[in-house]
Amino acid sequence: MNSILLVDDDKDFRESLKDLLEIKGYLIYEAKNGAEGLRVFSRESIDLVISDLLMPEIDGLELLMGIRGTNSGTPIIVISGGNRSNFDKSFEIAQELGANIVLGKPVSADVLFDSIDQLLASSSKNKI
Amino acid sequence: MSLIFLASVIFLVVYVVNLQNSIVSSAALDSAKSYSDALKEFRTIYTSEVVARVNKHPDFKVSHDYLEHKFNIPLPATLSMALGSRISEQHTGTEVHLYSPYPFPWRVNTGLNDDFRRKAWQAVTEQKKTTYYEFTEYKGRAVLRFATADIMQQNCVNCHNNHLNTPRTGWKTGDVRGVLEIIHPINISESKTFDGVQGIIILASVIAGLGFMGLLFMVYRFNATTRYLEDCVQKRTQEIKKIEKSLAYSKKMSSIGEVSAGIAHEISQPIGAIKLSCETLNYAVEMGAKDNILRQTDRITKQVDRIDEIVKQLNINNRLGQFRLENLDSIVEKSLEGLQEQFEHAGVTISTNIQKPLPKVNCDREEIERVLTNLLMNSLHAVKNRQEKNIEVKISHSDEQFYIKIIDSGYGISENIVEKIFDPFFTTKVVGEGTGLGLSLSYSIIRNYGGELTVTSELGKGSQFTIALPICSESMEENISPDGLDEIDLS
Repeated sequence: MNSILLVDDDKDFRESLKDLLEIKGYLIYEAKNGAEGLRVFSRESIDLVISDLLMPEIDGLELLMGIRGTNSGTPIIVISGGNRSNFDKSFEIAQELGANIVLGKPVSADVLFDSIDQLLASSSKNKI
Repeated sequence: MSLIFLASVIFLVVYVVNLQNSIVSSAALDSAKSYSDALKEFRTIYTSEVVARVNKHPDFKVSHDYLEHKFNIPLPATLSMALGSRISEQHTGTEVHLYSPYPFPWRVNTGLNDDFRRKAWQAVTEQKKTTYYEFTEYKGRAVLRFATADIMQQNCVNCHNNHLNTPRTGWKTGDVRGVLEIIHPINISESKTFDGVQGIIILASVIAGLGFMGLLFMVYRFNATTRYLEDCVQKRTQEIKKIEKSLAYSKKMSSIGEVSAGIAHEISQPIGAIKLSCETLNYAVEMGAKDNILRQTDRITKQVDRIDEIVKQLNINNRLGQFRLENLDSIVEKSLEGLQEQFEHAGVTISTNIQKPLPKVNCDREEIERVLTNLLMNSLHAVKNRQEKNIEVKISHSDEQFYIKIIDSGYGISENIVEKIFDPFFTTKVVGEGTGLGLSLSYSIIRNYGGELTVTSELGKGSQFTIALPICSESMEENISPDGLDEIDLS
């Protein structure tokens, strides 16, 4: 069973996403901000990370830097409503910082599942 | 400046012309007086030294017709007249006349036969003046007519009283016998001064001309410089206006852009959650997972409420409120009451300090309650994790304004956050706890009342939000009907 870490300060969105992914059989870990996300990521064996960008304390960009700073190749999907003042720019920065896929809210379940499948397949190939 | 210069030049010319006239007059008078004095002196000497001696000799006589008799010599007056004629021949235009109301019969043109002669006679006899003169016109040219009294000398009295043809007897020494007049053309004196004055005028004119040209040049340069500077100022002003317009447009667009991005972000969160819940719902329905279905429908409802709240907040500014004269302390109490449960739950101590009696405030009660609730909720969030959880509400007033202060013992707000704290959608709270519109809308509401909402903060000690509201003036109170239902636009 693949494990996914969900990092989002919006509890409602996080729980909706958790319900959806659990139906597909993934093991879900939750974190409400970047700092908590980094703690869970270092503690648990995580196969894929799905994170928001704009969060209190440590935001999504800092989370990306934290994960990539450990030389981890764990795939990361960024799902965000974007930075309030500069939507496109923040997505660009996220990709530069190591996000594999960036998706804007509202996200479609099919697109999300395809993205997860694609990244997990690629990740398992690399491991082999 | 040109006018001043022109006036100065005109003044100089007038002054020089007057000076010239004065010099001419003075020179003419001097000349005529010298002429007159010389003639008199000559006659006196002739009378005393020549006539007196000749009269003692029986073979010689003194007569006016001396040319017709071999041993006759001229009368003093006759010789004086002859001398005058001779001098006149050498000095063009100068005439010498000796006249009186009592002329000898052989004398021609020696009576008081013109106006000047009569005035001169009157002046030297009745007014006892020694001289009398006029600058006047004579025979078509400007002259000085200079008259002096011809006084009867001791040596003359006997002859004048005893002469066979004397027009009058009874003369005494010192009597005014007649008038000696010198007619002196002005142009003679003029010509003496003209050369000097002409030189002065030419010099003054040259200086004036050079000065005037210099002045014109300076004025030209000054005007050219002024025009250049004006052009520069105008160009710069136009550039500044363009930049200002551009900046204002950029600021407006930036502000619109920020608000739009804020709205988009806030709405996208619940919409994203709804979309996921709907898709989860599909799977749940397929799987017949009833619990999951109910969970998703609850979530969808919750998210719709969340969107509804955002829309309501956005519409607050457009609502038309009902203005009444309200007691501010009762509005504060109502707001505190509404939050009582939350304060107690968080263990917050609330204290109030109200300066009574408070004047009434003309407002939409609901709006002020909303502002106070927003500020109090903000303070509650600020203190909820602090050891000391104190919030104080102070109300005071001056003659013109109310001051409502909400002081908390929270962490305080850093400077970079204070700058943005009243911006729409700015929040430091986690998503779902605040829309980021509360302080922005409160700020808007208070500004609409002509008031101010400000914040001061010290990190580690807490923050103070101050609402300043204008007190309703008597004239405003008169305009509000007793039921308080009139709406007053305070914007």
